[in-house]
Amino acid sequence: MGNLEMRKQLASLSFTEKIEILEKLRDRSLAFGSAGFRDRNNDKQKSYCSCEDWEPCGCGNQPPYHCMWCCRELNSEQLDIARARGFYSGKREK
Amino acid sequence: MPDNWWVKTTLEVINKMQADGVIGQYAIGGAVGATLYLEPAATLDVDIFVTLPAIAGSSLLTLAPIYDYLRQHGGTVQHEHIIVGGWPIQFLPPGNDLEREAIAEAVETSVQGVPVRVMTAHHLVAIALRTGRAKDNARILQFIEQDAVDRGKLKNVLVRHGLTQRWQDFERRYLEGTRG
Repeated sequence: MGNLEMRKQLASLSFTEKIEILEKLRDRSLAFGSAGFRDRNNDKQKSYCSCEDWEPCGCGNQPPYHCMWCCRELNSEQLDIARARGFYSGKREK
Repeated sequence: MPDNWWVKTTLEVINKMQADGVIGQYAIGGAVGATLYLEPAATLDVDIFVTLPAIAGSSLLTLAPIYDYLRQHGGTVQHEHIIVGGWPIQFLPPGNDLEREAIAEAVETSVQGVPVRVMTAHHLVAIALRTGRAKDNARILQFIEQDAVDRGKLKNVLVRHGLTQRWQDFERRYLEGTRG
């Protein structure tokens, strides 16, 4: 999907859906603002996703697997659930 | 519904504040208002343009009643914002006829069932043009690129509020060569 096409698709969402996305964008901005960008080579800095409505991110089928909302790594329990749902195994449920 | 459904909570408080007579008409503007017509873009606050009831014997307009009301309803003041339901709000009394008209002609929509008034696309573009910061210009371009504003209505607003020359400058600077 092209950039303009994707923007049109996003623009056609309902106001409620768009506001929900704004909430998520704001959460992520605040998370980065308070904790800064994580140095992936520094384990002491590592923190896992704690979103109540966490979702596996579909931006890449390779580690580090992370939450699509906060971008923090999924913990082992979340990873198990994500894999059970077909993420990161090449056979995601539709 | 997510636990952090802040905007919904915020809008409920704003509607209650209007019902209680603390504010008159209101309309959401800025980036959140533009979201009704465009794709969502990250923003940290909500701009709400409000008309204020006249205070008997005074020609001064003050936001103090809004702040007092919201403090009593759990809001906290932080710089130019007041945080309600976790979302920073900036209340803006209309500073000119364009903003007054934008409030009066705002469209009604809803967020998760909560009614809310949002400025029309042509008023959002006209106000952005008048404000003229880089991010306002970028937003105008989004409206144009996505054909999200009625050009006829926009032209009428620009003429009525003396913004035609500014629009021509904008076109020359940003849109030249993009029309067929």
